Amino acid sequence: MGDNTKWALGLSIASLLCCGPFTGVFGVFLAKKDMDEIAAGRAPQLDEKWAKWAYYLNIVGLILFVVGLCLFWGRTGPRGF
Amino acid sequence: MYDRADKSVAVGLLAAACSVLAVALWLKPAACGYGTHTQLGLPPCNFLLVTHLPCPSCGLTTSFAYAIRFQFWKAFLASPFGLVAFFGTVSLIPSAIFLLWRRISFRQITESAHFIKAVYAATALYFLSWIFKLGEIEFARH
Repeated sequence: MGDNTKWALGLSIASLLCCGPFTGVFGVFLAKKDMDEIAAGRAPQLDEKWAKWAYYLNIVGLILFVVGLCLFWGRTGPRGF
Repeated sequence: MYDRADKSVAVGLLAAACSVLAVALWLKPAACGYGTHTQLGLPPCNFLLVTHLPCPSCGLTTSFAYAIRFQFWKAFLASPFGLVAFFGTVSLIPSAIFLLWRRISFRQITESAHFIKAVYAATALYFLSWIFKLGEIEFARH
C-alpha cells in the first residue's frame, strides 16, 4: 500500500466520522494520485485494490455529507439567507 | 500546453477564494469559538452534539470570520489550522492571478512532489490543530 493510499484511507475514516468535505476532498486527491500512478504503470508495487477502496470511501464520505445536508434542509429549510 | 480548462481552473480558484473571504466578512464570529457556520443554514456539528467535543473542523468558519477582521489571536484560538487556511486562501488570489497572467497550468503545480508534501503538511496540521483545541478545552475545565 502506498503512502498516499494510507493517508487517503485515514482521511476517508475522518470524512465518514465527522469531517465530511474537509478531509474527503484531500483523500480523493491522494487516492486518485496513486490510482493514476498504477494505471500509468509507474508504480506496479502499489496495491490498486486499496487505492480504489480509499478513493471510493472518500467519495462515500462526501456523498453522505451532501445527503445529510439535504436531509437537514428538508427538515428545517435553508436558513441564513 | 495551456488551454481553456486551465484558464477556467485559475478563474474558478480566484472566484472561490474571493467568495470564501466575502462570506467570512459577512458572518459574525460565534463567541464560543465554533458554530459560526450555522448562520449559513448549515447543520450544527454532529460530532459535537454526540461527544460534546469539537471535531477537527470545528472552529474553521469562526477562525476565518475573526481573521478577516484582523483579529488573528482569536482566529488562532478558534482554530490554528483555520488561521493557516485563511492565509492560504488570501494567497490564492495573487497566485491565481499570476497563473492567469503567466499562463501556467494548475496541473503543473498539483503534479509536483512539493504539492503532495503540502497536502501531507496541511493534513497533519489539521489534526494537530484538533489536538490543540481539545487541550484548550481541557485546560479551560481545570
